[in-house]
Amino acid sequence: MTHRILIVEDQADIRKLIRMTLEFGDFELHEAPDGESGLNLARAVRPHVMLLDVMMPGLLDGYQVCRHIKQDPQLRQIQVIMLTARGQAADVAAGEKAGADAYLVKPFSPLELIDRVEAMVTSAAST
Amino acid sequence: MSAFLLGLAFGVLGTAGAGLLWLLRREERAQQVAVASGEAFAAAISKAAPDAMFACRADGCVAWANEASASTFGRTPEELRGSPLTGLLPMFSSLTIADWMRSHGIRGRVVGMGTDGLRVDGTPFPCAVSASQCEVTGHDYAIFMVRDTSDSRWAEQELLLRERALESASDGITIASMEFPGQPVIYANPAFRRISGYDLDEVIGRNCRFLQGEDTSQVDLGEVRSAIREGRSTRVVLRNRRKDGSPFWNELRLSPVRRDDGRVTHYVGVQTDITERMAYEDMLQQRTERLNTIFDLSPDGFVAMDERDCITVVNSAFERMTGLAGAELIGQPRSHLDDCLAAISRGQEPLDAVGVADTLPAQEPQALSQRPYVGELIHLAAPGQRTLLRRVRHSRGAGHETVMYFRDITRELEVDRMKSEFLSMAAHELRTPMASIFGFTELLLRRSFDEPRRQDMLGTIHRQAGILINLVNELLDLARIEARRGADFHRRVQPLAPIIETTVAGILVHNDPRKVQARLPPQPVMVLVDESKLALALTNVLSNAYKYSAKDRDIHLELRQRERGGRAEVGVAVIDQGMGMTAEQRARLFERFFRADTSGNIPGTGLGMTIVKEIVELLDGQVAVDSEFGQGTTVTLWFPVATQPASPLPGEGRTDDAAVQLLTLT
Repeated sequence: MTHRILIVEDQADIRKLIRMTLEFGDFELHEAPDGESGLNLARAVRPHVMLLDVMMPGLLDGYQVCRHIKQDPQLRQIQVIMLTARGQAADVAAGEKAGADAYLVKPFSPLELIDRVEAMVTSAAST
Repeated sequence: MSAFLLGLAFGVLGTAGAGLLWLLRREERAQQVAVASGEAFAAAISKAAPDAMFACRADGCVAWANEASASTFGRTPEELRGSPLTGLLPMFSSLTIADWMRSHGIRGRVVGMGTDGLRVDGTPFPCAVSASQCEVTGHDYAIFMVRDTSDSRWAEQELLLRERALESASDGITIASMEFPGQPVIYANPAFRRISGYDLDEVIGRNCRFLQGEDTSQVDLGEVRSAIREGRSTRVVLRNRRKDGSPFWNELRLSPVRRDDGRVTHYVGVQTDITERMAYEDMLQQRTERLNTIFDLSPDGFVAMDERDCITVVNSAFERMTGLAGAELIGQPRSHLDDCLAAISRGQEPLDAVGVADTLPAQEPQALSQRPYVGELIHLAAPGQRTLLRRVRHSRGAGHETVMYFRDITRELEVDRMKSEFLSMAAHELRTPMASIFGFTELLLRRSFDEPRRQDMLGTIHRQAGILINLVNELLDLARIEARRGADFHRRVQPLAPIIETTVAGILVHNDPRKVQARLPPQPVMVLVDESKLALALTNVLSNAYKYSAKDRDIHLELRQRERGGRAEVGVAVIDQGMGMTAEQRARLFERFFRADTSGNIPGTGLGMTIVKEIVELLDGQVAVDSEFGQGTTVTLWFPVATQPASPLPGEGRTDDAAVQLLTLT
């Protein structure tokens, strides 16, 4: 089965980076440039994994989107990987509190990213 | 009293002696009756007498002794009879009775001579000896009366001791007699002489008022007179003069001495020279005044409590910080203060929870040794949103005072938070382009791509690297300007026009051929500025005008003039017809990293205008921004004019202080 991955990130270049990285895998890719449209797209597409940037303009930031996902019974099985340029202990803790399944600090290695995503969909599929 | 008794005893003895002689003469005439009555009388007297009486023969042995001799000498009259006189009165071991009578006696009688007697166990005791000579049945006898003076000697010693005590006291002591006119001083101890400087003979017999010197109208003297008149004690402080005229402060305590019937016979005065003490009290007073002033001037709040935890002092800074009135707190227990503070605060936390320690001044050694306690933060809700740092210190002195120290660290906390926030933001801004650079290069290294894609990726890397370079440069500019606070600005009075022209000519915007339409007046306008910093600020403003307006819209630059706060100012206005700003964007324009357009289409770091504001304000100027969303923006950099500008053009007049005048080319 082709797993669906949703990329929610406001910086176009980084979206491109992630997209080009994941094209090496067998994924169906979706993108959103901010929190609100990301949440809507998540409801519409029901991705397996969501790559979620923390700092985004607009009404919802990454933590809030994550909380919405995890509190929604229909969406909470989505695996959320948070991406951020802030790596302080407080930020990681906030991510855990919001219910994120993983946390990547920018700049990240794209190959590490694809490995993580692969591992996630594999373990999700086996459960 | 003893003289009286002795007189009485001698009267009795004399009578007894006379009686004996009379008895002896009458023996022949009426022996039995006379002798019987005389002997009985004598026997009765000698038995009842309290003093020892004995008769001593010329050979120095006791011939007869009375009952009292037994208790005085510790031997029965029978044992005494025949014993040597020297065993009772050892002075006679070196002196005959006859010699003694001759040297101490008057007409054959010695009255009350002090010597030592001996008790039977050999212990000496003080006694007074009286004696006379007589003849009985043809023999010469010395009749002795010995009084044990142990008690009175002891009383004497006591008296002596007390007198020595008075003499060695360090306070001056005088005794004045109230029974003689003028209430003269009859006794003055050495300390009094030392304090007053007068000798004994200059004091005795005079009234104490000679110490007043010329100051006879002191208030306390009235109290002294009243006390004496009323016969009571008193304590006053008088300004007296020594013999050499030097003044001193005399703390005088007077006490009356009464007879049994209540009449005051003497006054005892104790004088203490408290001049030094007064001087210390003055000094203490001054010190306290000074401390109070410092206390009150301090911008930090202080509250002090005594050993019972009752509030003693509240300074005005504390009142200002908290809005609590000191007058209502003084005298109250600490718990009351805690309640008042709780009522106006929204929370409290120990200091270590917040990393504010770095912003506080260096701790004194004592504070360090008191760790881990550093203080509490009290977050006030009223009278304003403030945070106070409180430290409590217990004094280790005898007073057991507690001092609470309050410092308003609202601003420091805010600065701290802003710094922390800035660093986070800066980190984020730097890492974002790095993510592209790092990510794309990794992909290029580890995977293969076709040529168009490779070019695209390399282009992205290059672009993002460029952004990073700008960002790093601007961050450094900003950091440097902020750190140095304009200390390394090289300000010179110079004409404004050349700086503008150079900057405009140097503007090179990628893919944008527009030139700035600058209109500058011919008259030179002088300003006091650092030209490179001004150029930087102007470049940033112009750069924004380019970025946020379309290529078919002109960018204009002109000079304006105004009066503000009594001084003439010149404004460099950059006018664009671009997208303009909303009110919200306008409000956040100078915020670090604020971007009006975050789509990524317009390059920028968000630091440009922050830098402009820093530079202009450090040059004693002001940035004014006028903008309408969708219409365009005008940014004016105002600076004070260094010399008077040329006279205003005809047709223009000042309407008010903030009037803006346009200088136009004629």
